[in-house]
Amino acid sequence: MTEPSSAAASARGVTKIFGEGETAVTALNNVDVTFEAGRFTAIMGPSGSGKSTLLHCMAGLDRVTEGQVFIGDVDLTDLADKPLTHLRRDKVGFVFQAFNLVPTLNARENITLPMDIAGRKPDADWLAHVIDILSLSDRLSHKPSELSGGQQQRVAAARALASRPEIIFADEPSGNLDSKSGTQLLQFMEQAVQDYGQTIVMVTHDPLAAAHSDRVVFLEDGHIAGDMFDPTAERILDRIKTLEG
Amino acid sequence: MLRAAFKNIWAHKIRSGLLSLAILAGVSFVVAAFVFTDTIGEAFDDLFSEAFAATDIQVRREVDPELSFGLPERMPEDLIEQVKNIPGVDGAWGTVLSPYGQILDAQGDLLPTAGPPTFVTSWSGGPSQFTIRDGRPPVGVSELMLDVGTIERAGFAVGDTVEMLIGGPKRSFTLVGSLGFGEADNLLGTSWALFDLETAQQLLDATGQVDAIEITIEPAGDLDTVIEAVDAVLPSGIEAVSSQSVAEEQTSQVKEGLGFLNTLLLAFAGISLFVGVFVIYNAFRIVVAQRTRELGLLRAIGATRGQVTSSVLFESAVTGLIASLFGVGAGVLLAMVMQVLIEVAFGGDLPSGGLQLQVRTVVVALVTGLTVTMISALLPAIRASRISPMAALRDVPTVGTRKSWRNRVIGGTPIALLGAAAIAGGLTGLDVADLSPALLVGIGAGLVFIGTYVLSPLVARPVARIIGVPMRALSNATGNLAQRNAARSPRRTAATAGALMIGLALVATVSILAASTRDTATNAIEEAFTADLLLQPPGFGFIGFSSEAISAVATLDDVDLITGVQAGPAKVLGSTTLVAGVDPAVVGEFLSVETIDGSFEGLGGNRIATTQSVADDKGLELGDPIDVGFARTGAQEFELAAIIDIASATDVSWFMATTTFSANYIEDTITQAYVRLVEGISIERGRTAIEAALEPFPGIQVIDQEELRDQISSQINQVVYLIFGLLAMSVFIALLGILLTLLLSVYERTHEIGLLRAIGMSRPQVRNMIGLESVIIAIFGALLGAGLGMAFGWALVAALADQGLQLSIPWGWLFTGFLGAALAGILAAAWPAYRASNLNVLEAISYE
Ligand SMILES: Nc1ncnc2c1ncn2[C@@H]1O[C@H](COP(=O)(O)OP(=O)(O)OP(=O)(O)O)[C@@H](O)[C@H]1O
Ligand SMILES: [Mg+2]
Repeated sequence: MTEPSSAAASARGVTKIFGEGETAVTALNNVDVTFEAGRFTAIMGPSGSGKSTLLHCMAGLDRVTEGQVFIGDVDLTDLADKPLTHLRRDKVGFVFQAFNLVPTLNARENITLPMDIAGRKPDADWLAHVIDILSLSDRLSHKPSELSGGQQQRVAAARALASRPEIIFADEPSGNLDSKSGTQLLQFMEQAVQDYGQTIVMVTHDPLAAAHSDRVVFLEDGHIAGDMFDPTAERILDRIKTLEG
Repeated sequence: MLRAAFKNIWAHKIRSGLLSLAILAGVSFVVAAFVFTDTIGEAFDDLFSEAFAATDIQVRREVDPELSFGLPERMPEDLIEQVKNIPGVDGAWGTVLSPYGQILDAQGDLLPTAGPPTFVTSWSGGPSQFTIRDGRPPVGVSELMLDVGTIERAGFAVGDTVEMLIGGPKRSFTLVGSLGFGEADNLLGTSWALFDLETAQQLLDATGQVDAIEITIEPAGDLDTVIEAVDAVLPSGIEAVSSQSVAEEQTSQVKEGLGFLNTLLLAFAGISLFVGVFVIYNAFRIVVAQRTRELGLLRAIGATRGQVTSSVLFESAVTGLIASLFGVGAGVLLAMVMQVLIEVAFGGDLPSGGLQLQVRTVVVALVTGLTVTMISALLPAIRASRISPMAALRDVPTVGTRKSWRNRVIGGTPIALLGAAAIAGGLTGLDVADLSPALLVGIGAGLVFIGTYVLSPLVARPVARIIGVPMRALSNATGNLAQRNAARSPRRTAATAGALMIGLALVATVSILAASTRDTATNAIEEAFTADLLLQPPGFGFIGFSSEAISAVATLDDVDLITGVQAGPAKVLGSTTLVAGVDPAVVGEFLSVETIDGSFEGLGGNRIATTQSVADDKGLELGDPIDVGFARTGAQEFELAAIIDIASATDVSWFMATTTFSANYIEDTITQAYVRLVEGISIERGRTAIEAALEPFPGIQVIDQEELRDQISSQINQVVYLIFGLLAMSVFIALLGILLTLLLSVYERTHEIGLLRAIGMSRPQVRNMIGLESVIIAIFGALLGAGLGMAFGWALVAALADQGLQLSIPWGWLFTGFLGAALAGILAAAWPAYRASNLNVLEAISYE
């Protein structure tokens, strides 16, 4: 296991307010958090607590209202659209809950898409390896519509891993999957962190899913309500209960 | 339901707006056609009734109006005195009239004209359509009056010397007065030169004769009684008619002429609407597909099939109606623009009596717009009603099963074949169900389009892939995605491309036909035309020149041989055509004339020759009687004296001797003259000498073979560009279709585009992706269109092969059309691409 060394991404005093005036919603309220490199971090919290918002802000998909966001040592806060896009392309990987794949491209093309967009050649050995550990070798020429939900999410994970980004963000990646395929996907992510030092930040509702991580960050009403290292499902459940109670 | 339809239209403003444009464009053409021709027709109605209001009765030769070509036949002038003595007649004046005048400007050049003739006539002294504006009527052999419009155009002033060509060398007159036509300065661009009667008679070779007698009756007289009384003293063949009925006759002649314009405009309106059908059909199909879940839900909660169908149809009806209303407005504007354009082209004002927007026009426009829209939406509406309630629960529906492919082949092939058969039938003059051949060809072409449209999805995918190859080379990821997107729904791509296919097919057809005509003509000149130089009037709209010009050239030392060719309209075997007058002994020196049967050199008297192809066509044999009707001399019987093969650049196919021609056409006008120079004389030297000899006959062009070929090319090109311009409307509608499809596709692929943006596709890349997809669609349409157009063009040329037409394919034009289509594709994609690249990434990837 690789020792966590530096910050892969961090938020400093991040506040995110949607809307204005009467209807303004404060989704994030002065959040400070650091995600260390080589770690698998889970973000948990009740619905509406700001998990997705935090993820989007950290990943450079959305702008913060106040504060700063860093990927590595790059400050995203004032980055223009173009460098931000390039940063997402080159340094960030994504796995969403659904709509992860481009329906016209087959599995292999989906996996290499970020590199194709960048006009880079994928590292063939690494690509083969990723495909192998995700057991996708015999599905590569299939279109997304010909893949099961679990396979689709694995392809998404493979895409996120294939370009060896500095950090992967996942928003409820197993949310639409049955427990078996969900567990498989989570195991792969865990493995990527352990074996290859990949950094992953994952939003989840599921304590069993969060138990795969190294650390759980709890969000409540837009602020950090604490965190837990080397979690287990029971401890997480307990914590949630205390938070709610 | 009305409110629901309005809400739906309003909620999709952009889509509805673009749909409306597709309908609006076609409808506005329809409206413009009617408004324009009604307006001009009405104006002429006013003009003629005013012009003829001055007199009560006209005496004229009884002529077959179809034969007269606007020219009256002459009668002896003593009739005037006879008529004057009839009780009830107040006054009677004789006039002569000829459209064969030419006016020279102050520099001695011909006054330019774009078509309308210069009339030479007499100032009768009695009431007439003319009102003197300035000066006084002409008296004696050296005075004339001109209309104000012409005076202004030429920059003359009363008192100036004006030179004119009237069947001979130029002559000088003094301008003593100006006149208008009631309020108007100008009569549709025509010029009018008036002389006193005796001078006019002399100039027009009509001494002792008049073309018409104008009569006014005493205030107490009864028109019908006087007409009868006048008629009684007239010899047979000459009749008295009320001026009013002459006005009506002339108006209806003008309207008939306008009818052609009307038909032409309506044909292009039809093409635009046909293209519009494809666009609207496709858009509604996509919309129904996108609303599958919603419609399924409606069915699940109890809406009947009928209700679903009518909800879609109703939306289309409301869209169609609103669009048609706007189309009426746009059509009126278009008619106004056309009026201005024509005025500029003719260099004169049209008589204006206010725009004529008749109830009939509005009704036709609304009914057309509504019907076209609803027909286009019918199939999608039926499809919508077939959506099962289960669709509400299922995910995206899958389309394109094997079975539907087989249905396409079974459905599309016979339609295309039937269309091809109809075209073939029309071209070979088959009589099917009383349809005119042109209409039959049109319907056939329409069927071929529909058949191809049905079949084209079958090839859309592979073709898109092939077109995509260079784009992938250009940029891998975006090119690849663009090509996949174009291929993902072959039906949608094919349907979108189909609209463009029609415009391009017509462009290609016209190009091929024009290029073949041009090349055939210029090749014929090159191969068979041996004249060193050619004399001809200065282009379109100018009449011929005097035979005295030929005599002047013939005497030159440098000139070895010269012969003139005359051409004029006549009614041969019941249909109006051009006949030529040639010197049979000499013309063969310049054109290759091969006598197949009979004696061409023996032409003369009432003997006529025709070409082999016409003889074959009409089943004529040597010695057959041929009925020929002339404007001036009426119907006459000719004998077919020769059947020939003649290589000439004109489409004249009846020939008679110059002497015969002159006997039947009073005007001494040569349309072309061929010159052979004495051996050893250079073309340039010959040209200089001839031009010097032609000094008294301004305006005659002296050109060599190459210039003749260039002239023919540029004339044909002008027609081609005009047609391209009119077809541009249908191409524009097709582009609207591409725009609409892309917008709907972008909307449909919101998630996907959001995902691409999230994982690092830049905005320019997104724009390129959409742009390239559009280019693929456009090129696909252009390919189909060019293919069909080449087939059509080839068929037309083949059908005309017996008239000597040879196929040539204008690769340059076709390539330009292609490139234009691709560029247009980029243009059409601009806005959808912009929208796609500006999608909010977060909203795009949100789950609901
Ligand atoms: N685009 C938006 N406009 C307005 N408010 C928003 C927007 N997106 C999120 N919010 C609000 O911000 C808050 C945080 O939302 P967020 O989606 O981050 O919650 P979450 O923790 O991911 O919830 P869930 O577990 O349900 O996904 C919520 O109150 C939500 O209503
Ligand atoms: Mg969320």
